[in-house]
Amino acid sequence: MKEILLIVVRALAGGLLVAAFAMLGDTLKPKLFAGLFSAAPSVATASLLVIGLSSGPDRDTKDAFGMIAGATGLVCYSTAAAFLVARLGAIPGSVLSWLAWVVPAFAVYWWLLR
Amino acid sequence: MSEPGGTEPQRVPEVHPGEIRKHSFQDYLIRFCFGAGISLGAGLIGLRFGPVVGGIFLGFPAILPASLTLIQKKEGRERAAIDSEGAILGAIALVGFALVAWLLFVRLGIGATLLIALAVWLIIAVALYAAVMATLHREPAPR
Repeated sequence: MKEILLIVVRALAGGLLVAAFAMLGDTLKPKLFAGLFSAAPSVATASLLVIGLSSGPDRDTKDAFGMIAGATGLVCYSTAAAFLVARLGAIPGSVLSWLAWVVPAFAVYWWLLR
Repeated sequence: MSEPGGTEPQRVPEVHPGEIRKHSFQDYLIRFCFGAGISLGAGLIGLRFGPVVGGIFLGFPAILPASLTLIQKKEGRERAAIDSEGAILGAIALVGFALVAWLLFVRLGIGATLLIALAVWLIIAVALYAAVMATLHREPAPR
């Protein structure tokens, strides 16, 4: 029960930080600079804070280790999205780009972190 | 910074707080839901498959699909693609965030590590942005 409650707190904190970073990004110009904040560590900061406070830094270390793979996938996702969104539009481009996240993120995990 | 004639592209970042008023409450609610959903998903996956696998989802593209859709709606497809190019730089910096967090959590504790990791993310992201602008002298055109 405590685990589920913590996940709910993580979700609320993650949502708030994502909205806050989005708000910050919306105020920035030029667009390339605003785009930096589309890949800001919003979900990560909220999650690592809640996990760390409840379970300690050892547990955070493991989550951060896995995050190296996820962040590598995000580099590939953003590269694919920049290419595909210009050609297909935002919705098909960003949805198709999820493949470019899944494959490298789990490849890095499988070969380097497992 | 734009020249008075408007021919020189803007290179120095500026903050325009008034831009928030151009967005509706619903725009931010959508992003909140994406962020909360990904955090929830990462938590449940971590519970089932362990913290390292759950940690992979801390780098999931949580905000980008919603942001790109909103940018395209308000400013056009090309601006959405340029936002993605900025996200490439932010994502490279996110790898730095994860590495610093992984190395420091046990040594420095949670608060100090998160502050240092956030500072490292910002420094790398801004340095990459400055390097791109210094090289291209403009925002890159979508490929």
